Amino acid sequence: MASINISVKLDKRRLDMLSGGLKAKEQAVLDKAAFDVEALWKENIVAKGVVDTGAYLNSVHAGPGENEHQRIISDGVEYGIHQEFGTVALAARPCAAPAVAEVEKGFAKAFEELLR
Amino acid sequence: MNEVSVALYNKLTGGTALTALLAGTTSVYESLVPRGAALDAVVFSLQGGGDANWTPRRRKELRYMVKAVSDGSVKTAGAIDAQIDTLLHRGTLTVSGWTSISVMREADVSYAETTPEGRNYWHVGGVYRLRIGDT
Repeated sequence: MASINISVKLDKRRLDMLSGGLKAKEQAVLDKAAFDVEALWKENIVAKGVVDTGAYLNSVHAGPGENEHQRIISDGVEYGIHQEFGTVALAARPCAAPAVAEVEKGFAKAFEELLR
Repeated sequence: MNEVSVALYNKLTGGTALTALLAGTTSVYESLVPRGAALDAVVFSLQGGGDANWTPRRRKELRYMVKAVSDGSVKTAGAIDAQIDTLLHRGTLTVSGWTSISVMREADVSYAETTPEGRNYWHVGGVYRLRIGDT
Protein backbone atom coordinates (compact mmCIF):
# COMPACT_ATOMS: atom_id res chain seq x y z
CA MET A 1 0.00 0.00 0.00
CA ALA A 2 1.33 3.32 -1.03
CA SER A 3 1.91 5.87 1.69
CA ILE A 4 2.82 9.46 1.85
CA ASN A 5 5.55 10.43 4.18
CA ILE A 6 5.95 14.04 5.07
CA SER A 7 8.97 15.21 6.92
CA VAL A 8 9.17 18.62 8.49
CA LYS A 9 12.42 20.02 9.68
CA LEU A 10 12.28 23.06 11.88
CA ASP A 11 15.36 25.14 11.46
CA LYS A 12 15.53 27.36 14.53
CA ARG A 13 18.91 28.82 13.82
CA ARG A 14 17.47 32.09 12.51
CA LEU A 15 14.93 32.25 15.35
CA ASP A 16 17.64 31.66 17.95
CA MET A 17 19.76 34.33 16.37
CA LEU A 18 16.85 36.80 16.50
CA SER A 19 15.94 36.01 20.10
CA GLY A 20 19.58 36.22 21.13
CA GLY A 21 19.88 39.64 19.57
CA LEU A 22 16.64 40.71 21.20
CA LYS A 23 17.99 39.92 24.65
CA ALA A 24 21.12 41.96 24.06
CA LYS A 25 19.03 44.87 22.82
CA GLU A 26 16.72 44.60 25.84
CA GLN A 27 19.72 44.85 28.14
CA ALA A 28 20.94 47.88 26.24
CA VAL A 29 17.54 49.58 26.53
CA LEU A 30 17.40 48.87 30.28
CA ASP A 31 20.97 50.11 30.80
CA LYS A 32 20.29 53.28 28.85
CA ALA A 33 17.08 53.99 30.79
CA ALA A 34 18.85 53.43 34.11
CA PHE A 35 21.77 55.68 33.27
CA ASP A 36 19.41 58.32 31.87
CA VAL A 37 17.49 58.33 35.17
CA GLU A 38 20.77 58.63 37.09
CA ALA A 39 21.90 61.55 34.94
CA LEU A 40 18.58 63.39 35.16
CA TRP A 41 18.31 62.75 38.90
CA LYS A 42 21.73 64.38 39.34
CA GLU A 43 20.76 67.24 37.03
CA ASN A 44 17.69 67.86 39.18
CA ILE A 45 19.75 67.88 42.37
CA VAL A 46 21.96 70.60 40.93
CA ALA A 47 19.11 72.54 39.30
CA LYS A 48 17.07 72.59 42.50
CA GLY A 49 20.04 73.53 44.64
CA VAL A 50 19.84 70.39 46.76
CA VAL A 51 23.60 70.45 47.16
CA ASP A 52 25.61 71.19 50.26
CA THR A 53 28.58 68.88 50.51
CA GLY A 54 27.82 66.96 47.30
CA ALA A 55 27.42 63.68 49.18
CA TYR A 56 23.82 63.18 47.96
CA LEU A 57 24.73 64.12 44.40
CA ASN A 58 27.71 61.81 44.28
CA SER A 59 25.85 58.91 45.88
CA VAL A 60 23.21 58.58 43.15
CA HIS A 61 24.04 55.58 41.01
CA ALA A 62 22.50 53.01 38.66
CA GLY A 63 23.23 49.34 39.08
CA PRO A 64 21.95 45.84 38.36
CA GLY A 65 18.64 44.71 39.82
CA GLU A 66 17.52 41.45 41.35
CA ASN A 67 17.26 39.87 37.91
CA GLU A 68 18.39 40.62 34.38
CA HIS A 69 15.18 42.50 33.59
CA GLN A 70 15.62 45.00 36.38
CA ARG A 71 17.88 47.93 37.16
CA ILE A 72 18.04 49.83 40.43
CA ILE A 73 18.88 53.50 40.63
CA SER A 74 19.39 54.66 44.20
CA ASP A 75 21.05 57.19 46.43
CA GLY A 76 23.34 56.42 49.32
CA VAL A 77 22.54 59.01 51.96
CA GLU A 78 19.92 58.71 54.67
CA TYR A 79 18.55 62.21 54.08
CA GLY A 80 17.85 61.65 50.38
CA ILE A 81 14.31 60.53 51.21
CA HIS A 82 13.78 63.74 53.21
CA GLN A 83 14.70 65.79 50.16
CA GLU A 84 12.52 63.68 47.87
CA PHE A 85 9.40 63.61 50.05
CA GLY A 86 9.94 66.46 52.51
CA THR A 87 10.08 66.78 56.28
CA VAL A 88 7.78 68.41 58.77
CA ALA A 89 9.64 71.70 58.25
CA LEU A 90 10.93 71.30 54.70
CA ALA A 91 8.89 70.99 51.53
CA ALA A 92 9.71 68.10 49.24
CA ARG A 93 12.25 68.84 46.54
CA PRO A 94 11.79 65.77 44.35
CA CYS A 95 14.71 64.96 42.11
CA ALA A 96 14.27 61.23 41.44
CA ALA A 97 10.59 61.17 40.52
CA PRO A 98 10.84 63.81 37.76
CA ALA A 99 13.80 61.92 36.31
CA VAL A 100 11.82 58.68 36.18
CA ALA A 101 8.83 60.46 34.66
CA GLU A 102 10.99 61.96 31.92
CA VAL A 103 12.67 58.69 31.00
CA GLU A 104 9.39 56.82 31.17
CA LYS A 105 8.07 58.86 28.23
CA GLY A 106 10.44 57.17 25.79
CA PHE A 107 10.71 53.80 27.52
CA ALA A 108 7.73 52.07 25.90
CA LYS A 109 8.75 53.35 22.48
CA ALA A 110 12.29 52.04 22.95
CA PHE A 111 10.90 48.55 23.58
CA GLU A 112 8.57 48.82 20.60
CA GLU A 113 11.62 49.48 18.45
CA LEU A 114 13.13 46.19 19.63
CA LEU A 115 10.33 44.23 18.02
CA ARG A 116 10.57 45.86 14.58
CA MET B 1 -1.34 72.86 38.55
CA ASN B 2 -3.61 74.86 40.76
CA GLU B 3 -6.73 73.07 39.51
CA VAL B 4 -5.31 69.72 40.62
CA SER B 5 -4.30 71.15 44.00
CA VAL B 6 -7.84 72.38 44.56
CA ALA B 7 -9.27 69.04 43.46
CA LEU B 8 -7.03 67.09 45.81
CA TYR B 9 -7.71 69.43 48.71
CA ASN B 10 -11.46 69.17 48.19
CA LYS B 11 -11.34 65.41 47.84
CA LEU B 12 -9.27 64.91 50.98
CA THR B 13 -11.08 67.41 53.21
CA GLY B 14 -14.37 65.93 51.98
CA GLY B 15 -13.53 62.56 53.49
CA THR B 16 -14.93 62.62 57.00
CA ALA B 17 -13.36 59.28 57.93
CA LEU B 18 -10.02 60.85 57.04
CA THR B 19 -10.46 64.26 58.64
CA ALA B 20 -11.68 62.60 61.86
CA LEU B 21 -8.11 61.30 62.27
CA LEU B 22 -6.48 64.70 61.70
CA ALA B 23 -5.89 67.64 64.03
CA GLY B 24 -8.71 69.49 62.29
CA THR B 25 -11.11 69.07 59.41
CA THR B 26 -8.90 71.26 57.22
CA SER B 27 -5.52 69.87 58.23
CA VAL B 28 -4.64 69.17 54.62
CA TYR B 29 -1.78 71.15 53.13
CA GLU B 30 0.10 71.44 49.89
CA SER B 31 3.87 71.00 50.11
CA LEU B 32 4.32 71.84 53.77
CA VAL B 33 2.62 71.90 57.15
CA PRO B 34 2.55 75.59 58.12
CA ARG B 35 4.79 76.48 61.04
CA GLY B 36 2.91 76.03 64.30
CA ALA B 37 0.01 74.13 62.75
CA ALA B 38 -1.27 71.20 64.76
CA LEU B 39 -0.61 67.63 63.73
CA ASP B 40 -1.68 65.09 62.56
CA ALA B 41 -2.01 66.37 59.02
CA VAL B 42 -1.99 65.39 55.37
CA VAL B 43 0.52 66.87 52.95
CA PHE B 44 0.44 66.50 49.20
CA SER B 45 2.86 67.74 46.57
CA LEU B 46 3.70 67.29 42.92
CA GLN B 47 6.51 64.81 42.42
CA GLY B 48 6.82 64.86 38.67
CA GLY B 49 5.13 64.40 35.34
CA GLY B 50 3.44 66.71 32.89
CA ASP B 51 1.97 66.59 29.41
CA ALA B 52 1.90 63.11 27.92
CA ASN B 53 1.99 64.31 24.28
CA TRP B 54 1.03 60.88 22.95
CA THR B 55 -1.99 61.97 20.97
CA PRO B 56 -3.35 65.25 19.57
CA ARG B 57 -5.63 65.43 22.60
CA ARG B 58 -4.08 67.12 25.57
CA ARG B 59 -3.51 64.78 28.45
CA LYS B 60 -1.46 65.06 31.60
CA GLU B 61 0.13 62.36 33.69
CA LEU B 62 1.07 63.69 37.09
CA ARG B 63 2.59 61.98 40.10
CA TYR B 64 1.50 63.37 43.42
CA MET B 65 2.79 62.31 46.80
CA VAL B 66 0.02 62.29 49.39
CA LYS B 67 1.15 61.41 52.90
CA ALA B 68 0.21 61.55 56.54
CA VAL B 69 2.49 63.46 58.87
CA SER B 70 2.12 62.42 62.50
CA ASP B 71 3.92 63.31 65.69
CA GLY B 72 2.16 60.42 67.43
CA SER B 73 3.22 57.10 65.94
CA VAL B 74 3.82 55.29 62.71
CA LYS B 75 0.61 53.35 63.41
CA THR B 76 -1.40 56.56 63.49
CA ALA B 77 0.24 57.76 60.29
CA GLY B 78 -0.54 54.40 58.70
CA ALA B 79 -4.21 54.64 59.66
CA ILE B 80 -4.43 58.08 58.06
CA ASP B 81 -2.70 56.75 54.96
CA ALA B 82 -5.27 53.96 54.73
CA GLN B 83 -8.04 56.56 54.61
CA ILE B 84 -6.17 58.57 51.97
CA ASP B 85 -5.86 55.41 49.92
CA THR B 86 -9.58 54.69 50.24
CA LEU B 87 -10.38 58.16 48.93
CA LEU B 88 -7.90 58.32 46.07
CA HIS B 89 -6.92 54.91 44.67
CA ARG B 90 -9.17 54.08 41.71
CA GLY B 91 -11.23 57.12 42.65
CA THR B 92 -12.05 60.22 40.68
CA LEU B 93 -11.15 63.86 41.06
CA THR B 94 -13.13 66.90 40.06
CA VAL B 95 -10.51 68.99 38.27
CA SER B 96 -11.86 72.26 36.91
CA GLY B 97 -11.43 72.42 33.12
CA TRP B 98 -10.23 68.84 32.87
CA THR B 99 -11.66 65.35 32.75
CA SER B 100 -10.38 62.96 35.39
CA ILE B 101 -9.30 59.74 33.70
CA SER B 102 -7.82 57.81 36.58
CA VAL B 103 -6.13 58.02 39.94
CA MET B 104 -3.87 55.11 40.77
CA ARG B 105 -1.54 54.52 43.68
CA GLU B 106 1.76 53.28 42.36
CA ALA B 107 4.28 53.56 45.19
CA ASP B 108 4.32 53.53 48.98
CA VAL B 109 6.21 56.03 51.08
CA SER B 110 7.15 55.47 54.72
CA TYR B 111 9.89 57.03 56.77
CA ALA B 112 10.66 58.58 60.13
CA GLU B 113 12.21 61.92 60.81
CA THR B 114 14.06 63.04 63.90
CA THR B 115 14.63 66.75 64.26
CA PRO B 116 17.77 68.22 65.82
CA GLU B 117 15.68 68.89 68.95
CA GLY B 118 14.92 65.20 69.19
CA ARG B 119 11.30 65.28 68.10
CA ASN B 120 10.07 62.38 66.01
CA TYR B 121 7.69 62.59 63.08
CA TRP B 122 6.33 59.81 60.94
CA HIS B 123 5.54 60.18 57.26
CA VAL B 124 3.39 57.48 55.66
CA GLY B 125 1.64 57.78 52.32
CA GLY B 126 1.83 56.99 48.68
CA VAL B 127 2.62 58.33 45.25
CA TYR B 128 -0.44 58.54 43.05
CA ARG B 129 -0.51 58.80 39.27
CA LEU B 130 -3.20 61.20 38.16
CA ARG B 131 -4.35 61.06 34.55
CA ILE B 132 -6.41 63.99 33.33
CA GLY B 133 -7.42 64.98 29.82
CA ASP B 134 -8.87 68.02 28.15
CA THR B 135 -12.63 68.20 28.28
